[in-house]
Amino acid sequence: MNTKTSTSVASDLDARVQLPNQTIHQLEPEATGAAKIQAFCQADAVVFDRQSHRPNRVERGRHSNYSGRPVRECVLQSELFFEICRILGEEGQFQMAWAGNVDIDTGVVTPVASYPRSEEYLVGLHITIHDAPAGVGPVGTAIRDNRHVLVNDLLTDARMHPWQERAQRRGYRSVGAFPIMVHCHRHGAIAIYAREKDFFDPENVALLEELAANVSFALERMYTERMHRRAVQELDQFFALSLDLLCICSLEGRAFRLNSAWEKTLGFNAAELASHPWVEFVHPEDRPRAEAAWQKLKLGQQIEQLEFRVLSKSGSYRWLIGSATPSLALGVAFAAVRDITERKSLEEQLKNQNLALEEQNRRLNEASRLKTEFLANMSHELRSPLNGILGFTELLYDGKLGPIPERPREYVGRVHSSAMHLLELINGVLDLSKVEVGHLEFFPERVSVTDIIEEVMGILGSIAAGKKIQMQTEIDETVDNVLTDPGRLKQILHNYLSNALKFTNPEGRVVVRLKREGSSEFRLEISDTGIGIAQKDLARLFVEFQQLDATKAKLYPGTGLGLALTKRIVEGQGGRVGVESEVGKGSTFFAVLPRGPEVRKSDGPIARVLVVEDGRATSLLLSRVLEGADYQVETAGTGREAVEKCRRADFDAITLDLVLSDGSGLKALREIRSLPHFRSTPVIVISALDQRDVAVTDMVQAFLTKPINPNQLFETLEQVGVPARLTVGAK
Amino acid sequence: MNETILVVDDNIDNLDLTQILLEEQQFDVHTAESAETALKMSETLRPRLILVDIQLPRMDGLELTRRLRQNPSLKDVIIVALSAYAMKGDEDHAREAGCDGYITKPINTRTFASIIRGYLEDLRATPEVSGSQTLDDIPAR
Repeated sequence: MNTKTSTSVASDLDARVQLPNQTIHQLEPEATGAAKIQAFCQADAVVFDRQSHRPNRVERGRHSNYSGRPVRECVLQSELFFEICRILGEEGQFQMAWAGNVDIDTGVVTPVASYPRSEEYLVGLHITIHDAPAGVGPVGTAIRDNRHVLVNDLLTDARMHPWQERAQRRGYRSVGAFPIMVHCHRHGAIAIYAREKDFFDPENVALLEELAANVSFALERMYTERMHRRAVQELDQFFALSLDLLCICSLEGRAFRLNSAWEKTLGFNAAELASHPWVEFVHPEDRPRAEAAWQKLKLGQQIEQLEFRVLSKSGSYRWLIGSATPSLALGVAFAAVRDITERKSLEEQLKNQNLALEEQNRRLNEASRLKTEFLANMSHELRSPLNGILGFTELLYDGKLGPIPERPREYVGRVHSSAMHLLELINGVLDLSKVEVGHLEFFPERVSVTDIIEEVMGILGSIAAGKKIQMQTEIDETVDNVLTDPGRLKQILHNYLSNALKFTNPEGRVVVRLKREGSSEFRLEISDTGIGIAQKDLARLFVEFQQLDATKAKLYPGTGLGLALTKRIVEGQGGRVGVESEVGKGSTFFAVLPRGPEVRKSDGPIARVLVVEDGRATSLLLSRVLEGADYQVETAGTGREAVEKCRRADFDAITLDLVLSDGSGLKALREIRSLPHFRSTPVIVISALDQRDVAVTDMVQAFLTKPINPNQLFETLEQVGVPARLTVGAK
Repeated sequence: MNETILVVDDNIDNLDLTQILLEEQQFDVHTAESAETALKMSETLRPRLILVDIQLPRMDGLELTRRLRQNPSLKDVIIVALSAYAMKGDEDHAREAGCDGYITKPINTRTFASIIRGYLEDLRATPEVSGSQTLDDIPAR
């Protein structure tokens, strides 16, 4: 049979307790000397009369030395069972007592403890609670029926048949079995053996029943206690493991339980932290807030996500965020706190960076303003004296101040043309400077290139006619309608065309061509039958103040700025310039410019763009550019206005200036992003500074620098999925 | 004809040039080298038209125009700005200050007088007011 039932019954089997749900719960092995469960002290104790040494004289005695000690102090079932058996044997003078558990699944009853220990009677004992020969004995019946069973003479009782021989050998004559229930479930029994026949009478049976009931009670308490302790241990584990700072403190704010994260974070150990109410560790500036929050907590309110600084042992302060909940009944508060110093310092850094950028931006704007002012003044200062020079020479030349001989008249004419040249130079330099300062702004509109070509040809028509130069056009009508700045296009054409006329000999030919270039650009070509340019000189053509040949420069006066300016105007719009030439045959200058988005009339709803920009000029420019490309535009001059507009309406994209008069654009963006319908709306940051590092976060999809290049803007809008005409069905 | 015109310019050469061009056309031309003088003179002179250089020392031409406009006795005077400024927006500033016209320097001596005559003939909306071109209109070559 089961060897475990023999000699070592009190060892490890005792760790099994039958749970109410019929499963076997394995109790942790635990030293008997460990903390005793004082909770058992309330249990009624059953004791035996010490003086009589007679088991039939047992009675209740509250002041006895053994009053309930095992029930109170035992922490293991085996210990409890053994103590009960020992008392029954030593104090009750029973021949033998044992206690065992039943396995509900198999029905087998297994002895756990006995007195005397290692009782031979129990070796190979087979008892079940089934309706079988091994199950009709007193123990099996007692457990099965949940009632005590007495056998007054086991030598004659048929129910004892399987065990009669071993009982006779041990000299047992009568036996009583008392069931043990735990939480109303069958758990086991205590079996008590006496030498005498008819030993049990109602009096001692009542006491023994009470004893069994007390054992049941003790086991229940033991079980509950273990469950409780287990839960506490689990919580302790998490408490110790937590990366957050956890504590339980009195309502006065004095911590009495802290996890190790506190010491790791603040350097103070638990005793140091417990020595003062927590508020005293809080930074003086944050203390009023902390105290106010704690006052509310004492009235039963929770503290939620309070941010405050706390002194650390090193003397520095850490930023913490904490929530706390009070238990007024227990007189304590539970707090969970997190160290956010890192985050705070990053935020601080970002804020400082933003401030620095704002300052830098302000200074740049100031510098730009000063430069503009300087240019205006220069323009005035240089042009004022020219007014006199040009005016008087004109008067002289025209003879309005009296007749003038031929030679002086010719020289006066030279003074005048030199002054005119100087004026052009000044104008050119000023225009070029404006490009450098970033003042070259573009205002694209839908225009007819043909109309512009005709207009410029009209202006220069007299020059062509004077030199008997034939002007022709070759125009691809399909690229006539483009989105570009008409003023700038005129400037480009004027430069190229006047150049061509200047370098073309009388009775030559100049052709203006308009072509399609790739899928998104158009190409303007101006060919002449002029003197041509040597291959080696082509590269220098578009560089300012580079007239190719000093001798030719005299023949064809100019500032040497026209082509350089043309190049900048074209490149500023995302285009390119170039020239092909053959000496003696002529040159072809070209400019390739973006056509801008095509108008797709039936392509679904118009995309709505919110322009957030505090500079009125830039805002106006962006609106014009976007409206020119068929976007619907709303503007907001401040972060607050932007957030308001987003609350009220939906947009397909947002352009955002980082520096707004009422704070950082990112701050406004954070608020906008928190609106449910703006979680995924594409945002394009448009900034005067390259703030990519600061600006590109999850919240921002693209970044553009000022000055604004319209075509880049359109491309970016297309990239983030917001072409001018949204495709049907797409957001 | 003999309409009275007051020319205000701190540059004597330009002042003389303007005067020559206008007197040639039989206008009654008076000159002032500062805004302060111009204010005093216009009270007694009651000119039909005042040509104001924008860039004047101390009080500039814009301020002068504003003050002239505040004087009820000069409410019908025609004020034309004459400026060597050639930046975008300058003309707007002049018109905001109360100028009826705007002519940029250097002036074109061959057309200048007829432009002035245009203003006097109450062609306030006359399209061709510019003696020269602004920077942005000038082809840079």
